[in-house]
Amino acid sequence: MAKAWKAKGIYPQLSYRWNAQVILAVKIQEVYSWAESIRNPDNIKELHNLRISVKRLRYSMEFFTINYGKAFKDFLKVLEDLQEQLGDIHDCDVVEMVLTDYLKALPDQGDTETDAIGINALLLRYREMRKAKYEAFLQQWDALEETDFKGQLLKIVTGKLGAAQSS
Amino acid sequence: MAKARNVKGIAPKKSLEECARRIITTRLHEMMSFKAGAIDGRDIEYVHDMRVASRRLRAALRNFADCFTPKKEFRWYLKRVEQITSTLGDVRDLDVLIDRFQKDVLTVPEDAQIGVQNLMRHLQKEREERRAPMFAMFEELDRNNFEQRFLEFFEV
Repeated sequence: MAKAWKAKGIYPQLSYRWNAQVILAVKIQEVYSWAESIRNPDNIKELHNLRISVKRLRYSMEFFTINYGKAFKDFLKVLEDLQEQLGDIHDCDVVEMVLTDYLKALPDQGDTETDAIGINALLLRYREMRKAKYEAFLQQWDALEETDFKGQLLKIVTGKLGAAQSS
Repeated sequence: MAKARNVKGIAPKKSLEECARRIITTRLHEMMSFKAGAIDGRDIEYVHDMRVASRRLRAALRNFADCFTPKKEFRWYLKRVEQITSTLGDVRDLDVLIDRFQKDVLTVPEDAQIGVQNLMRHLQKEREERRAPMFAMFEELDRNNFEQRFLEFFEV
């Protein structure tokens, strides 16, 4: 798991609102540092790291919700959905790894041939599921890129969007 | 995933430090509220909820690290929380897999079911093995009076 990016320039005695923008801006940049590498479905590690970074941003946004208006909550909801999609992909990757390892160890554990039928059936199912989940995720990611999700969120977080838009 | 509990007493104009203390102590109470259910083990959601709460707590500690001194003591608490997340994660991963395959076994062809059932038996055994370090961790936290010390360090 990649290390979390640390926000610099935090002042504990300044307001909660003021510090929110400093911390959240860094978390947003952390998420987008994976933007290029997740275009390859085989980049399992990078997809996992994106999932973790989205989670970090999500939890950080949850802390700071009180500082922002409705638009902020809408962005948070989008991130929750994105995290769920990435979680589904990760689950398939974990299942693939567990089943593959189990298959390799089968000769030591039981009726190899009978067991392998079941494990291979599962493997096939999860590979298909993973492919579909990845495609759905990428479609969602591209749709967010088209609406400049990152730029819009940064504007809300740093207070550069008009009050009418952010509340 | 369980929704995060509301934090009372925070406001945009209050200092980051005061809000951080309130958030962190709320998240600690939230996390510890799932402990008994996690130990019981019959409902897998307790381990899950405790792990999610520990992640929220960990995120708060990391985000607000600059608010706390002495650093050495702060890092001790952060490390304990990281350990909680990781130990619960080991159990949760298997809970998820077993739950998933329990559903799958009903939908695979008949000749594939024995293999999936044997796999589940294997994972069940592994799950029991992984719960042992979780019990040991809870015992250690109790021995160290973790919860009370944590609250004393972070409370407003």
